[in-house]
Order: sequence, then structure tokens, then C-alpha cells
Amino acid sequence: MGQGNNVAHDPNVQRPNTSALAQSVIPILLGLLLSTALFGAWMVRAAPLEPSWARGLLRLDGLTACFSVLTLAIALAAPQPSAFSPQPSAFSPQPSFFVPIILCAAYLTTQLAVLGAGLLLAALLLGLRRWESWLAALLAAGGLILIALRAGTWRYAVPDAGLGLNSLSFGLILCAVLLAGGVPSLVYGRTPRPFLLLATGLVYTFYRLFSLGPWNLGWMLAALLLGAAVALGAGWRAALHADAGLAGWLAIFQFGMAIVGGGLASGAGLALGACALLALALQQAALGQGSWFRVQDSAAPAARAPLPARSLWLVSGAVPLTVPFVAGWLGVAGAMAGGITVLAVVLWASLLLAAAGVARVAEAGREDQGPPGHADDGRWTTDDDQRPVISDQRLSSMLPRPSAIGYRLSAISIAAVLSLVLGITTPALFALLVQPMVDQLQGGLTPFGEVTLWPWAGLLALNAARQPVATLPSLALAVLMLILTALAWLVTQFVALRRRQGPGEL
Amino acid sequence: MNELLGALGLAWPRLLIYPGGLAALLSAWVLSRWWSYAGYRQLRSVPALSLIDLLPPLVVLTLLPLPPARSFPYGLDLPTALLLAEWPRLRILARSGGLAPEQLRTLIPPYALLLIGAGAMATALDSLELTALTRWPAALGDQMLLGIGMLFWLAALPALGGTTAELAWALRLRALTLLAIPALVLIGALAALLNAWIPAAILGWVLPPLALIGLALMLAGLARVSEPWLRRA
Repeated sequence: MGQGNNVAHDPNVQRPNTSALAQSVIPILLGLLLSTALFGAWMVRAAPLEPSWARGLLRLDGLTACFSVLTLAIALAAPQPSAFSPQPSAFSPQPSFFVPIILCAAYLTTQLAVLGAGLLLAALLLGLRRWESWLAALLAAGGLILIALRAGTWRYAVPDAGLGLNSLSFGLILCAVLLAGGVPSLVYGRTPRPFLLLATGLVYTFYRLFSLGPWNLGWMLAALLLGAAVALGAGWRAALHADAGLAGWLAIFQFGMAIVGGGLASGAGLALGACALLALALQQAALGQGSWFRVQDSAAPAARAPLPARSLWLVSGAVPLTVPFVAGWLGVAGAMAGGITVLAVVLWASLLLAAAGVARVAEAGREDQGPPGHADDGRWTTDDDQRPVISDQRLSSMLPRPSAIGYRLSAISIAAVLSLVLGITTPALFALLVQPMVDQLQGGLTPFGEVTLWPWAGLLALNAARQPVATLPSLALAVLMLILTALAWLVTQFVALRRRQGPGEL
Repeated sequence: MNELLGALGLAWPRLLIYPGGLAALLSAWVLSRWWSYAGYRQLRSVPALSLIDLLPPLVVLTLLPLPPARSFPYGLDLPTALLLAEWPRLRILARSGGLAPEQLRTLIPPYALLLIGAGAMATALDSLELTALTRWPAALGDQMLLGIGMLFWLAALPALGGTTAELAWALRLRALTLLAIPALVLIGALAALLNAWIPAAILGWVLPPLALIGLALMLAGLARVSEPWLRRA
């Protein structure tokens, strides 16, 4: 930890060799662990693994596998800030490496006490400077201990464990997710700095409550209300406030969606939670403050706005067929399938707001490319829309040093391509990661809303009567777009040919 | 896989002639002429859009469940259709600074109206699918809710630039798409009303243009009535 402390004082100082080594080795190790977790997900797609030698202490099921993959993906996408440094956003390899491993180990146990201890240890590694992290971990650990004490057993997989779940422990765990997910900054209007990994671990703990049995309707309502409020509030902030905290607001938005996913308490809800956290990983990789592959720059990270790049459209959620859109769609479709249209509209609006925030950055600095007199109708915008979004001076002050730009742009492009590829292949991911989780937690879920595979087309959301309420034919849409693009290309070629042959003929 | 390929193989009339392709381009052009005649103002110029920006609204039009076309098994739903249709608009807004916080505030009321309309339609039909929009519900309450939802959607269009006589093809197609979605409701209602007297085959040919023309006339009237009021507001 001391090493991160030294470096944090001045990020421009050449890093010690050990840190540089760690910076190149840790992502490779995390990548290997991610592949292992994906293999684990493939192993448990039919039934959970419970090795007999572990005497019921270890259990690898769909939820564990899915959240291990998500936690490692988020750790890869967004290195964690240093634990004890005065500069809160300074990068440090230690928590970025150990926290995901501790969390994945905690997911593997059936012991509620070990899970609580893992969360506390993760909070400790992430730093005690901010009260949200340790309070969140303490609340969650307290909730888990209460469950165990009431039920008289420390293992969640034991049939009687469900007896221990009451409103108090549920409320403690929900509060923990909200705290670590950055909701205090939403309330107090501060620059958002959610604890991405800790909050992911807490979302796992929250979803693990489905293993204990069905939820009370009141708990579901509380989770829906709070989650939707958080998603809408964070979307509003992302759209209507400065660009500097955009990545943080987007992370809070996705955590809000994940809480709504728990509140829906259906197959569609769990799919929403998983997809929202995957979208979070991609958005943090593109817009976040730190990256494994990125040179640290001199501008204070918290005050730095994201780099404008057109590929950001693909992580905005404004483009159907990308992961953030699929996450938003799952929210709208899941709410609709549960019969809660108001929630569907609220989530739809927050998706559009969050997308507008990223879209603004994607095209920022390009406003001078259009023809000068582009003032439109008057009803579209107000009178003073000639003013550019961000002045040149501000833009240049926001941009990092030139050497960092290349790294940041490549991180954005990788995230954008992954977002598109994973978005189109969502049905495959869904079958690997989400379906086993939903099947294995079926006992705690309600039948109000289910997302199923639509073979060779995409995803279907079904309501309790198993009627389709929303459809996302992502594969079919992609093929159709490809055909139309080919047609459009042919037309342009034809027009160009005619122009070359003789102007005025066309 | 074969199913998808088969569906796409049979979809070429949809792609090239109707409801996408030629029919879409022609009706989008006619509609934009009509808006400029009706008094909705024309954009002086818009930032250059590429041909790719034209495709998302065209895909929605291609996949619309409009009657005489052969049904296509892979339909869209309202959230996807709305985002695909709004793609050129979003591009323009992002590039011309229309998504800056101060400008964005002016967009929120009309979009809220649009989403409330969509939510009302979805509540009445218990579904977000576009194919469901053509099913006229049996209960009176649902019918009223669906009609109100459609009116909300239409009322949001003038403020959203869904009725401006744009010069760019992508925006023309967008305006047509935004009008065609509530037209599906009208087609369903008229079909339920008229199918006792007129054979379904004829209705299939007559209703889509009738619904589109009806809604375009209605919105043009709205422009004359409400534009001075909207301008003051």
C-alpha cells in the first residue's frame, strides 16, 4: 500500500519498476481468472457444483459464476483507486488485484460469515478514508449475521436458512448496496465516486437472498422504488450536469438498474442485473478515470472530462444492438413483463437521459464541423443554441497530455467494439451466464416476467401468461442492417459512377 | 438458422418495395412536402449526415407490421423502434450542441409526453410490441387508454421536430416513422370498425395510406391552431 501512496503524490513521477511490472502482469492474471470464471459458468450450466470434500462449504452455482465473471470484468475495466493515498483517484494495483479475488472467493462459499468477512476485507483494501465503503460492508455483514443468527445456521444452502431473512436484514443489505453504489453523492450532489467492485459484491449478496426463499412484496416494492429513483436521478445527472463526473453517474445509473433487477424478482430482473453490470464494465472502460493500458496524466483525474470520440456512441445506450442498450431494454421489458408500466416508462426515460449524456461527449468538439447556419426550427432548441457545447479553451484544458490520448482512445475503441459484439451476441451470453443463474434461483423468484432466448433472432420478454410483451431480435436486426448497408453502398457506387460518366445526367 | 435465412429471403419485397424501400422514400418525400405546405418550417440546413444515418429509421419502416405486406416473424418493440427512428435526430442534436444541459432541458417535456403516450399504449395492450399496436382491444377502458396514448404521442411530435419539413433524407424517414407508429393504432381501430362491411383484403390496401393521411391532416391542423400558442410558451 505504501508504494501506491508514494506514487499518488505526483502521478507524473516515473513509477518504480515493480509497479510497472504489476501494471502489466495484473491485467493478464485477471484475464486468466476471467477465462476460468467463464469455464466455471460453462461447468455449472446444468447444476451447481458442490464438491463433497468441502463438506458443503463451497458451492459454485450460476449466480456465483455470473458475478465472478462480472466482478473480474469490472476489475479489468476500471482499476481501483489507491487505498490510503491522499489523492483519492490515484491508481494503485494492489486493491485492483486483491479485491476481485477476495470477492470471487467470498462468492464461492456457502458460509454467510465468510461472505460478510470478504466484503469487510474488500472495503478495508479499498480504503477507510471514505465512510461509505466500510459502513456499507459493515451493514451487509450485519445483515448476513442477523440472518444466520435467526436461522440458526451459517450456510445459505441449508433449507432452514430462509427462516432467518427478515425486513431488518433485507433493509441493511439494500442500504449497503445503495451506499457503496454511490447514492450519497447523488443525494448530496458531490462528484460521484462509487465503489465499483464493492458495490458489485454487494449486489451479489443482495441477489443471494433469492437462495433463501421468495421475497416479501414490500421488499420488492422498496427495491423497485429505490432502484428506479437512483437510476432516474443518476440518468438526470449524467444528462444535465458537467461531463467530469459522467462515468460515476453512469455507474450509479447501472447500479440503480441492478437494484431494480432485484426488485423485479423475476428471471427478467436477474438478466437485467447481469447485463447492467456488464454495461457498467464497458462504460467504465471507455469513460472511467483509470485504465490498465492508459498513461496517467497530469490533470487532476476527478476534474477531467472524458475524451470525445465517436466510438463512444457504442457505449452510450443510444444504439440498439449494443450492451448498454440491451441492459436498458431488459429493464423496460422486464418491468413491462411484470405488469408495471410506470416503472417501464421511468426506466426508459432514464435510459434516454443517460444515453444523451454520453452522446454529448461522443460528438463534443465537433460542433464546428456542421455548416455555420445550422440553427434549426426554433422549436427544437432555444434561441442561444449557437453557443458551442464546450468552449475550445475548456476542451483543451480537459484533454490529457498527448501521450495519454492514444491510450485513452484505444481503450475507448476496445470498449466500443466489445459493446457491439457482446450486444449482438447477447443470446449466447444469456444462455451461458444468465439462464443457469435464473434456473438455479427459481425457488426465490416470481413468475412475473421472464426473458427467454428467441432462437436465431435475439431475446423475448414474456409475461406471467407467457405472452411476449417485448422483442429484441438483435441477430435478425443485425443481419437486416448488414443487407441494407450493402444496398446503400451499391446505391452510392451507382450514383458515383453516373456522376463520373457525366454530370447532370442523374 | 434456416428459419432466419428463410424469413430474410422472403423479406425482399419489404426491404425494397413496401413498407421499406421505395414506398418509404416516396411517402417520406410526400410527407415532408406536406409539412412544408402545412406551415411547419423547414430546416435551413442540417449538419451533414452520412448514408449510414439513414438506415436505422429505414429498418423500423421495413419491419413495421403494416397490413398488405407479408408478415415478418421478427418484429420490433417500442423502445427499440423509437431509438432507431431517433438516431439521425440524436446525431444532429449531439453535433449541434442540442444535448448541452441547457438545451436538453427544453427537450424533456416533449419526450416525457411521448413516453407517457407510449406507456399508455403499452398499458392498454399489455405489450410493447409494434405488432400489438394493430390489435384493437375489446374493453372500452383499454380502447380509451390506447386512443389517449396515441394522442399524447401525436401531440409530442411538433415539439420534437417530427413534423418539420427536413431536407435530409434521414430526417424525412424519421418523421415518417414517428407518424407511422401511431398510425398502426388507427389502422387497428379502423379495421375493427370496418371489417363487418369491407373485406379484409381491401382494408389491408386502403387503411395504411388512409391512416397516415388522416394523422398528417390532423397534425397539420394542430400546427395552425397551436403553433402561435406553442411559440409563446
